[in-house]
Amino acid sequence: MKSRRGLSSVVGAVFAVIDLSTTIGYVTYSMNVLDKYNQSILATNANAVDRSKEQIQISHISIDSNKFNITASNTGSIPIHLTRFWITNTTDVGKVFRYDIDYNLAPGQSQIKIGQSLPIYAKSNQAYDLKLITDRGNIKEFNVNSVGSVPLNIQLLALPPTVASGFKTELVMAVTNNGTSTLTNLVPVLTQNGSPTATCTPDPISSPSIYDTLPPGNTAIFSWAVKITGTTDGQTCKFGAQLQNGYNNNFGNVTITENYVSLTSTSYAQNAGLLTMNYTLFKWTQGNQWNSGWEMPNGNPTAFSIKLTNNNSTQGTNFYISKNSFVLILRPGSANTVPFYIVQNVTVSSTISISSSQQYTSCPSNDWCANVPPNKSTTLYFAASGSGGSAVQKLPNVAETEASFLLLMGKFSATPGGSGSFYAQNLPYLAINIT
Amino acid sequence: MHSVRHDKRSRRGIATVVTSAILLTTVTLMGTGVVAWSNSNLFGHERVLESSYSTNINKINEYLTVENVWFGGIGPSQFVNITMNNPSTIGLNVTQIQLKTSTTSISQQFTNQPVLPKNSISVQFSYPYTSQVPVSIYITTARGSIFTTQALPP
Repeated sequence: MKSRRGLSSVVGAVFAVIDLSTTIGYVTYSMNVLDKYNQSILATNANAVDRSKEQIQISHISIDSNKFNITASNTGSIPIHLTRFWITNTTDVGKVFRYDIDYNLAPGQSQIKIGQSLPIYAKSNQAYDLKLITDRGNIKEFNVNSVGSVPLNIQLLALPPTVASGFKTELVMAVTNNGTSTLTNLVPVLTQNGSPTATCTPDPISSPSIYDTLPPGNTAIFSWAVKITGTTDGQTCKFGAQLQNGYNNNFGNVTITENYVSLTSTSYAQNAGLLTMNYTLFKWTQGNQWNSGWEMPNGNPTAFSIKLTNNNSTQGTNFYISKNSFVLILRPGSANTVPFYIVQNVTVSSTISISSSQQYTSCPSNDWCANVPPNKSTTLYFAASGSGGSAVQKLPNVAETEASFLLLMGKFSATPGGSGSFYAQNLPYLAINIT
Repeated sequence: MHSVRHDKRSRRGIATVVTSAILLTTVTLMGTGVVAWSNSNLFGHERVLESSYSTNINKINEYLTVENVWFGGIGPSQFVNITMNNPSTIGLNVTQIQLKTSTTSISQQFTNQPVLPKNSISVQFSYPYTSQVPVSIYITTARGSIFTTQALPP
């Protein structure tokens, strides 16, 4: 009886084991399904993240040999596989072309000449909608428009707008692509409008002569040098600039006005001042030390120190100063003038003196001893009573306010012995108060 | 007397056997019932889970991009051509394409328009578009996913 009673327990236990194992199996299965579900979600998310990480930049578009020449760069952080290329001609509606391509781009890598091997011809006077498709399904869409398909923001500026006769100004044409598509083949055309009263001669070709492409938001800058000549103030030339095969009536205008400069013996320096002096560095000495300021005792031997700047920026155009240059002191109401000729330097002790090596004749050519290089400054000394002399000039022996100016004669030349371009200029105005 | 005692003992033994048999039968029947019920129930849940899993996962993995849309034709023969690309790892079936503007809505039904994984298909059908009026495109798949894009007729 004992053994039969145990049989029921065994049978019950068997069923319990079956139920338990079924439940465990179900739970295990459920967890596996859940795990697979999670894995699938993760994989899907990873694909979505990868898709969002794909970045393609079109760094170049042009039409070469009547075919598209496109450079696409992978600017993202994951590899990209370009699988298809769509070309839709938006000028000639209904022409849609699809090409299978196979370009793998590692991050940072570029693929050049996309479109050069495709059997489609592109016309620079037509507009196209282009698409590159990746194997993850991303689409890089961009447009190629001819300049004649949309009006652009075109500005023409003269820098400066007013120039002296015989000088050049710069015409600057700024073309801003205010659209959303890349423009191709931008060639500027400059024309003179109306009836000019001055004579204007622009460069025949702009610099640069062409922009192959202009991405959206970018600006192309073209420039021409224009020489203007005239005979009276206010004469003008009018210019207009547009793009070759551009949108109708889409251009920029500018007027250049001529400022007539009379270069006479009395006005040359004021109009053509290539040399300037730094008034704040003007110094004088009558011995012991160099002094600033404009007041100096009368009747004493005196030397002046003046810092001169050569504003001519042309290389090789050093301004070599003639020994005949001087600071001239004019006594008001008197015919007497007192010149202080240029010297190479002065010796400043209790008095001032000019040694033989400091005279303006102690250089190889006996003249042109000092020079001011282009766009540089040099300190000059004026002290001699005669040209190239060693005697120190004295101030007038009266207490009065004098007018004075610096008269410079010289030449722009590469060497002291070169012929160069002779040039003279007076630099007003040194007011000296002799006490 | 002896025989009476013997009969009593044997009758008591039968009752025990019968009781044990009933007990065993009951345990067996109950166990079998519980096992059958639990198997049926759990397997049913497994099937539901599997079906739900595959439906949801496939729907999640389903992805479609509209590579290109172009409009062509003149007057009554105007049409739209839509190229769809399936970059995902599972196939899908396009059942409907709906084209909506601010004033019109046109649906095109498909009974069998499969797009295999990593493949694309183009469908073209009559569509009276208006130039420069944006069109919203809704593509519905057999699993109920909807993918949208917009296009501008020339």
